[in-house]
Amino acid sequence: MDIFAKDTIAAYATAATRGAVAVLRVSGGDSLRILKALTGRGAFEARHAYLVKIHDGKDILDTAVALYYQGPASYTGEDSFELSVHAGEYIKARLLELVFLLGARMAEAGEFTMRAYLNGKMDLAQAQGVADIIAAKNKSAHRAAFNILDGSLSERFKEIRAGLTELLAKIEVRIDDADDEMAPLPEVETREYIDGIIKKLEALSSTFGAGRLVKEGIKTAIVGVPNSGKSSLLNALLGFDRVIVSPVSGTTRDTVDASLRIKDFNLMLTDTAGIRADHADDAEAQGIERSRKAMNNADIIIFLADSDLDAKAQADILAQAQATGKKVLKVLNKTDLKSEGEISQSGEYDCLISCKSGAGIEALKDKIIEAIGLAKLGDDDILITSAAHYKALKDAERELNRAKARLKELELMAEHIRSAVLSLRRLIGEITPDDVLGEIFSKFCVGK
Amino acid sequence: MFVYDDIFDVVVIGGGHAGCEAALASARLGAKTLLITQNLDTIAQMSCNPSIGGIAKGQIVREIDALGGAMGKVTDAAAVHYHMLNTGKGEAVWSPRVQCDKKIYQYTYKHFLELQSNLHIIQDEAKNLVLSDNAVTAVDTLRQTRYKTKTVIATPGTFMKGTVHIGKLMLEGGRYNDVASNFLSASLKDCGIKIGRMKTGTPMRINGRTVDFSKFTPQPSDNPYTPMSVFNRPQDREFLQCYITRTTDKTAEVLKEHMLESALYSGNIHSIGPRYCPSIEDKAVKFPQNKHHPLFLEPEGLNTEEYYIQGFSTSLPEYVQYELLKSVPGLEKAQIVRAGYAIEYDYADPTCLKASLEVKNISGLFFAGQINGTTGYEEAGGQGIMAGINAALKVQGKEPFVLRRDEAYIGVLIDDLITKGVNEPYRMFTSRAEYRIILRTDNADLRLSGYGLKLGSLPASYAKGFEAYKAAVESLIQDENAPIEESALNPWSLASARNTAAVHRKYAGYLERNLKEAKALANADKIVIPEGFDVAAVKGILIESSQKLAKIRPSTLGQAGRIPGITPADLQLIAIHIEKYRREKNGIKA
Repeated sequence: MDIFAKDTIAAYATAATRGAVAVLRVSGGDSLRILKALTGRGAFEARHAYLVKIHDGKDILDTAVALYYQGPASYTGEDSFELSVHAGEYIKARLLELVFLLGARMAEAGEFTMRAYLNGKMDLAQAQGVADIIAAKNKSAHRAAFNILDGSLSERFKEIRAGLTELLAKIEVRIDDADDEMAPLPEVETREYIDGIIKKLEALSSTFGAGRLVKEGIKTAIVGVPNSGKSSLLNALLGFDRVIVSPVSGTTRDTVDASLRIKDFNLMLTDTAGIRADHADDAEAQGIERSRKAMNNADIIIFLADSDLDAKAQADILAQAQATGKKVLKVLNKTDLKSEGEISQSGEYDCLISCKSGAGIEALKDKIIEAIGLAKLGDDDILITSAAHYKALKDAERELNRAKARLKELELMAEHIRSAVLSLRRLIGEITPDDVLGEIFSKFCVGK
Repeated sequence: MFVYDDIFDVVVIGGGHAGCEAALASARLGAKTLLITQNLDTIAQMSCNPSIGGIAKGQIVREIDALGGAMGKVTDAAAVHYHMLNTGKGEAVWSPRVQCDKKIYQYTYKHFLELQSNLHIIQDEAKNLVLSDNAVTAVDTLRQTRYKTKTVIATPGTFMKGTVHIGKLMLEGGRYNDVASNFLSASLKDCGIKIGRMKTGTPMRINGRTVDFSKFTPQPSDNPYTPMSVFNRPQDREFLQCYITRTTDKTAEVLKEHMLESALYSGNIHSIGPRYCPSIEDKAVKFPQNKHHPLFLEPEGLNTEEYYIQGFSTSLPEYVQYELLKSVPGLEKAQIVRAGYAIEYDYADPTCLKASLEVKNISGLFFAGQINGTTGYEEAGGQGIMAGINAALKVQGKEPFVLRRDEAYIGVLIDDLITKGVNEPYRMFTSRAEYRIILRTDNADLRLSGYGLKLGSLPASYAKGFEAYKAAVESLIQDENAPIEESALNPWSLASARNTAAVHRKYAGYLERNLKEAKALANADKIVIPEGFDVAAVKGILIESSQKLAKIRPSTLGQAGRIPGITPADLQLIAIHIEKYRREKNGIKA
């Protein structure tokens, strides 16, 4: 019934594919409050563009362009705003999270347009396209729901669903126990039982990072001093000449994107311009700035070293990479040119390669997957790839933790568990009162 | 045929717990009402247990009371034992339960009916409905009288084609030895209504003189006690005790030995019984490891030694019922005065109803109580008062009165019935209410008495007191020491204002959450699906959804959303097409 809550909804208006800018759209009565809280700005004039900083606690998440619309003069006819942010995955995911924390919820497919239509902002011809999209999504969502019912739902979700149903039954049977026939809910056991469910939820929500990487690709930045062979590595990984490789240092002035499939994962490679302190011209300086951005945006950084090049400059770059807090793979290149002795002394590297001979390239691929933590995922593992599902899991974890604090107040404990169930309904299906009563009647001899 | 020389606004068929509330309510709203009952001496008969209320049921009685119904007041008049249940748990699940003297209960209700203006009562049996253009116009009786009427409320309870089972013995009857109503369900079938069959049961009654009470644990009444009706004050009265004991290993052996002689397990009964009121043989089959089931001895009244054995419902032959009694210490010599039995009866699929309890296809025909597949006096009474109010409103050309799920258990009950249908006798549980923290016994009046006053089902003279009471509760929520003048609250009491304010403070955060969710529900229920709009034909909704929508034919978008399996996307599409329909009708560009 969420779609009739007339509450505030949020979603990206831009597609999930890559682009420089992502536009977050928020609509509903809380829009202005949320916009003010996000930006720390006290006032917004409708239909004016503002350059704003998005606050995330003490930090600044991003600089963005904000446009506020006052209802009814807006797309949906409600108060709403749009925020254009840099399209980094982290920024996008975190911004959505912040907006949810401020009270918005994820919009359903087509919900903005439905509101627009119901508020008289468009005619049916305009709305029809969206109606078609809703209808199409309806079918796929229904298939997912059907999976829940016909038993093909993943065992993980089934376990969670069964656990919550059983928990509710244990509470409700005691609430209905008019003549105090039943022993009270055992506290230690119940707490452990709830913890068991929370652990299962956490196991799922913790895959969100990995899930996102699987869905959207692993952003990989290759850094190193000029001429360390970054573009050659890119080509070696790709297996064809994607980038012009020349021995003149400083050829690559733009970050270059290419994507590569390793096992089941997409690697989004960014070859950065060689970073050096004494840059030759302005164009190169800009390239260096982009490199820094690429590192900040990356999920993993490959630091490419060449023991023959400037040691100080290389140490600086490595320090810079490590300062981002990202996973950094240290890779020694040009092993074909090195002596046995030199190589044996290179224990500090994660991987030894030669872009020229191709030696070590396959090992490097494995290292990347391993480093990002995807190697330990089994085939039957569920990866949470959607921000909405991640939020649902986190909400449910929070509610279950609250339930644990209310073990003696059954009706309040039940409120929290029911909230958790409501959050999870898209993942595990609904648990109806009849489901709970069914569990009660099958497990407990109750009634007179 | 004798055609009665008057046209009634409302004819109520049946004088049980639903029928009595229905007749009183429609008459109170000014509708000229006739109550037809087979037997005046069994009006408001408590066919099963001698108690009113219980968990979730007590809430319903308070709601009936808050709307101006009689059930709470009659209960207090007949009470012999009060117990507020669940006081060890939170106030949201506290529920009053009152043991009653069955005879006092009956004649008090009968007297209430007799005193009610606009209400006529006749002892006869309704035989068939007379329709014209899919609207009811009259009711014909067994004595061949025709009562012309604008509306009919059918509340036949377990009487439509009732069959009593005791072991292999099968007898016609709406209760044991009460004549079944063998024509009405055929008449309803002719009207196109889907009729099904359900089952329920009752335990044996015994003579208390033959019971050794020293073997039982007594359960005394609460004293002081809380009256069932908020309009009554506690008074000195005579209390009776209930007693508790358990079945034994021997009981389990008797059941095992004689199981196939039970009507339930011999193949004589096919229809579904309520899982919450299982027979003792059901308990033995489903939970063989549980041998010691609780039994409660409840007095049937002040001027009788008859006791009801709660927990011993059975359809075993009479001689086995004696064996069962012998297996329980203290009941070895107990003399059965009425044998336990099971009963099967016809009911109507409640998905044929609108939220007003009017049948969708037949103008002016309303159903309330067990005919809708429910069980329980309280569930029946709750539907009865709503059907009575709505029949009167219909005659007066007014909008129906519908309670939402966040307003009352009665709202939950009716919405569940008409939206999900039933597959066993429906009993209310607090877990059925998603807004349990809102729907409490202490605030039924705050939730509903405003409606009662507006409708005229509560006396207008209560209006001033109610306004003062509401204001008092508000003040006490803000400041528990706020000065309140008690006399201004009459007939409400300061004690209950204090109590409900304290509960409100305790639940503040949870109430806010409940209210926020309830708002979404209210919004969805405000979107009415227009008559003439074919909700099942909306393009893009799932085929399964379309089939369900065609069957239930919801009246609001909210109701559509509560049909199991309807997806949010279905609802969005329906919303879009309702808006299109509205614009086309109003000549606006689609």
